[in-house]
Amino acid sequence: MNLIRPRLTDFHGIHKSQSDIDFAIQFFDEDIPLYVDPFLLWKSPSQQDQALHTAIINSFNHLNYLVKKRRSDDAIAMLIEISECQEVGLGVSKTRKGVKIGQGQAEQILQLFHDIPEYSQFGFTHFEVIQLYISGISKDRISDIASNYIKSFLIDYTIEQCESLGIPIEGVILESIYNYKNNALDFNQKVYLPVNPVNKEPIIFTPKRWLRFNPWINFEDYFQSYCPRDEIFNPDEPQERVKVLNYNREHYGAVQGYIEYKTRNIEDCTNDPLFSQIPTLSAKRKLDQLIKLPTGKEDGADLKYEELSASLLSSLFYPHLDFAQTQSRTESGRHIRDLVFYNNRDVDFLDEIFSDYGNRQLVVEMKNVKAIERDHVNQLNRYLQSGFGSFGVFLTRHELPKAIYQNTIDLWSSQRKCIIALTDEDLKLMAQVYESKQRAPIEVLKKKYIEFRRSCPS
Amino acid sequence: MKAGKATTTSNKAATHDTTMPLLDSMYSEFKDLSKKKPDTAVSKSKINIANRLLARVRTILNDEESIDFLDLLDEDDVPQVSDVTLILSQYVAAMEAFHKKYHGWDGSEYRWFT
Repeated sequence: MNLIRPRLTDFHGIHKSQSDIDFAIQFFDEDIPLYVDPFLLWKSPSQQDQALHTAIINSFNHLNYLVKKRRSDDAIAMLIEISECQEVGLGVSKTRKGVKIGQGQAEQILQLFHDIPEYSQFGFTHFEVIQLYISGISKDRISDIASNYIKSFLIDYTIEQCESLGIPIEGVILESIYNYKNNALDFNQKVYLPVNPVNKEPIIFTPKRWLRFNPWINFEDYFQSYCPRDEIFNPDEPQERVKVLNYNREHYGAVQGYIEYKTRNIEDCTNDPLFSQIPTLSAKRKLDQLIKLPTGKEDGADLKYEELSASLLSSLFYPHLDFAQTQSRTESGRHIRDLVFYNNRDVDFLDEIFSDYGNRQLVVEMKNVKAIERDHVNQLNRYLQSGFGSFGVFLTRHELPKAIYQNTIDLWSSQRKCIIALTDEDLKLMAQVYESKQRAPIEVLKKKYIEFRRSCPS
Repeated sequence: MKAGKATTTSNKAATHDTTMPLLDSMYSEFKDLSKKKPDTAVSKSKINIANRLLARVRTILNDEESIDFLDLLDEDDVPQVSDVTLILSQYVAAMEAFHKKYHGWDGSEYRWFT
């Protein structure tokens, strides 16, 4: 089996789209660029989510207790240990490996309990604010610390999801799990989790509803929308981050005000979807641009064509086909790009191409040419032998010439290979049904397939 | 009875009386839509509604020659409004022909010849 950029579910043969699944589906090779935002847990109407937020905050404030009991070393060790949680696979790492914070940074964080009387006395209510005080603490740390504090819950959640979906789990040793009962870490715990088949690393799922590209409370937003810059910087002075952080440490009120301001706008705080469709207006605009493009390579028309159709198709086919990747490959000296989709089998047509043609993924080859030639068909045909199943799609400007169409029919007759061409006209119809919401754009592909099958000998 | 007038069953005549107003109004709705945006795709639910009516109409016309030219709508073909209008217009014409053939003046009143 040769899948392009496999996800956990595809690997285990679970054909569900991201929109149908409660957690963020992980890739084996890289992180998902989203973060757990504690504010979403706090905001959630679910009592369970709120309780988890309370657990996170209580656990974080427990560090204050340790400091006050002159057990700073324990607090530092704890903070360092929980500053990275690679099992959840969130962030921007290409390798799914992160590094923990250093001793110095841990000390700086604990120093906040000492320097700011409010935190010393009452503790934090939103620990994300440490981003506003400490340099080098950003969204990934907040997400990792939060995930670590509720890791035990996430493990249960993962097991539950695996059981309901049928994802295999196996025994693994986790370095540490936070124990809420005695506010300490349990080391080298054996738990049952799904694993990455390549390196056997354990994988923990996170619910989609807790994920954002940026935490609700973050430094950039504070700097842009709330920070009293006039008070911090003299006119014409370079605006350095450190100055803002120092100012915040001395002006608790400014940070507190920011939290209140963010809490007031809580309605706007929603989780970010892993993929969002382009708005209708922009789909129309993209289609117009695409239709106007000349065929061929002049002025980079082919690249432009690929770019526009990639973003159009990934939105038009969503949520029935999740977009996997644009692939580049070079064959016969030319640069060819394809779009690859995961086949979720959630409509009868997609199920049919899975069972009849073995397509676990669907490849769309983009060709900005006047007419598809025999060579192009041969290329795609060869490509269909290498693990994509035997159903492929051309995205091209005009209908296939008669002889070529006959060629694809012959291919079907002799090898049961199915090659469908989507043209500008089909794209127009797809964009139109996307706009009117009368039908799903994927049905246009089905229509083309049915037309093709009608021409095939029975 | 007027001599030479063809006869149909009273069932068919009754169904014609029920379905013709529905068919007429559906046709005029689609005709209006088709004037505005002929290339709009028709939703599955509309196709189902139309097909339900057309299936009934076909029971009236099943012995007529025109039935060979009348198709049901295929939702897999993603028909556009103009396609539906065209098909409906054929049904309307066939139904009118049916009416003309089997309905008329019997010397004392207009009625179906059954």
